[in-house]
Amino acid sequence: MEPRIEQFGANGVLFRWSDRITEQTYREILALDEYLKEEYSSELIETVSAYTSLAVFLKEDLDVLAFMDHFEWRSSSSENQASKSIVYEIPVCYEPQFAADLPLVANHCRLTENEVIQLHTSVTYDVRFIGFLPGFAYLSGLDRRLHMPRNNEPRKRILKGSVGIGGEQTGIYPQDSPGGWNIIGSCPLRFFNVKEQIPSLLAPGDRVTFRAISAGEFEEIEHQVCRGTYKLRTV
Amino acid sequence: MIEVQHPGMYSSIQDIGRFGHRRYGVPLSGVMDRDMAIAANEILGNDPNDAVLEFTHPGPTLFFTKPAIVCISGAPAVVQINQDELTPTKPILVETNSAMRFGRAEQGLWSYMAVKGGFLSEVVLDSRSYYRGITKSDHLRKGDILEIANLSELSEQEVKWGNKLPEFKVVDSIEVYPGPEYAQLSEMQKIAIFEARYEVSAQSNRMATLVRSGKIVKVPEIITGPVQPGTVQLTPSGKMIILMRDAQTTGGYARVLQLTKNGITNLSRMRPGEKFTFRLL
Repeated sequence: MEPRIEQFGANGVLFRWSDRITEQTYREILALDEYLKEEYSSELIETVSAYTSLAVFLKEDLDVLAFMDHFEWRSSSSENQASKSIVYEIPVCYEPQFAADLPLVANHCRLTENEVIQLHTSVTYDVRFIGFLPGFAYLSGLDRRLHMPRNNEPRKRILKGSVGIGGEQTGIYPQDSPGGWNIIGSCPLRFFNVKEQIPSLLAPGDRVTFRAISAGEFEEIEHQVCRGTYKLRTV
Repeated sequence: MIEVQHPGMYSSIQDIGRFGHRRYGVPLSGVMDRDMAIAANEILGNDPNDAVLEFTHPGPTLFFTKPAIVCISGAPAVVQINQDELTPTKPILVETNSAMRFGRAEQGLWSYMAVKGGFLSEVVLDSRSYYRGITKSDHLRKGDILEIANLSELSEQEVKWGNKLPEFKVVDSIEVYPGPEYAQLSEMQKIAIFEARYEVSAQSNRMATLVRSGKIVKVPEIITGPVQPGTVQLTPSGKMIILMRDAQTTGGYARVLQLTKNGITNLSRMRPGEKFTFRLL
């Protein structure tokens, strides 16, 4: 499907697909993002992608309407990026001290706590885009049986690393933050580090899966991350 | 060096912004009133992107342990240097061991102090702009030491001693473009939005200007999409949130309008309690 192209502010352009979150749209957004980087890098500052749209911010002295006029792109399924074959393994400890809302989620979903963990760790998730907080990955692929509304009363502080379920989504808080998601575990990895060339551990297009770890392993990995010796594992 | 003896109400170091990292969820940040910050830098012969001190009122109290040439712009705050009170419109030479205290401003919200050579705070992800979680702190604290260059090493660059800063004006008509969800509004809603007068709320900050108005327009949430400084969001309960420099990169509220560059500058000058209207470009 061809996206619509609209002006978005003084130096922005917004590409918009239909208002349905689909795999096809996701692939097209990744492909367009890649194409823009290759063909138009001299004209743009940066891009921001989301579920069904992609914003392009042009250099400030450029004319947005002229860009929209001369811009050309044909989405073709053959050019769309195939899924990356690499899947990153994200260790998560689901033990009670890290999983304040696991009993609640199990109860709501009419599952045992073990079944919740089993379902959460059995899927490969796509990183749709990064937003909300620096390094926060919007993941798609959460098993339907784990869909659960957010808390009505958001917590004032959810700790960095917390893994939550909110509506149809699951994700990891990259820093302490207020939030309304149901917390089912914690991940010892650092998802955002300003000292890295690319500060975010994950990028749009990446694929991840969760692996259940013990509190002991959590501590061990946390130490390795601190020392900078932890290597992200792939499956 | 400049020592922060009192941080004032809210002060931070900002440049034009942290570009190139929004795809990883990193906000742009940068000076609220770009025109005024750039004007101060230009008078000093600085680069427009050199980092400046941004503050709201009452402003900070600073102690200079070496001489500096500074230019103060933006909301016209009263400045006391040692015992002299002044309202400067041109560059000033501040001597070693001077205390500088900023008071209240008669109008406007954000003031700037540029120094010759710029503030040399740490560069994180290509920018010196303070932002929580990115730089060590998001605002100045008592006892902070602000590094500046030595004047003697900067002498070849021209300071425009005679030039005056542009006049600081507060405009109550804010220019906007239609936003991505504008077309989904009914004609009645559009009329309501442009007829309404909006009052800036005291909860506003560098992330967003919150406003109140007599006319409530309720708009359903959207599938999370990109936002930027100047995006005017309406919530399902009819709250209006106008995103400013520290805005998140994506959001789930309807983006009904988008401020122009001038619109952002003019909105940044409005104080809590002041009123404005939108004007569609």
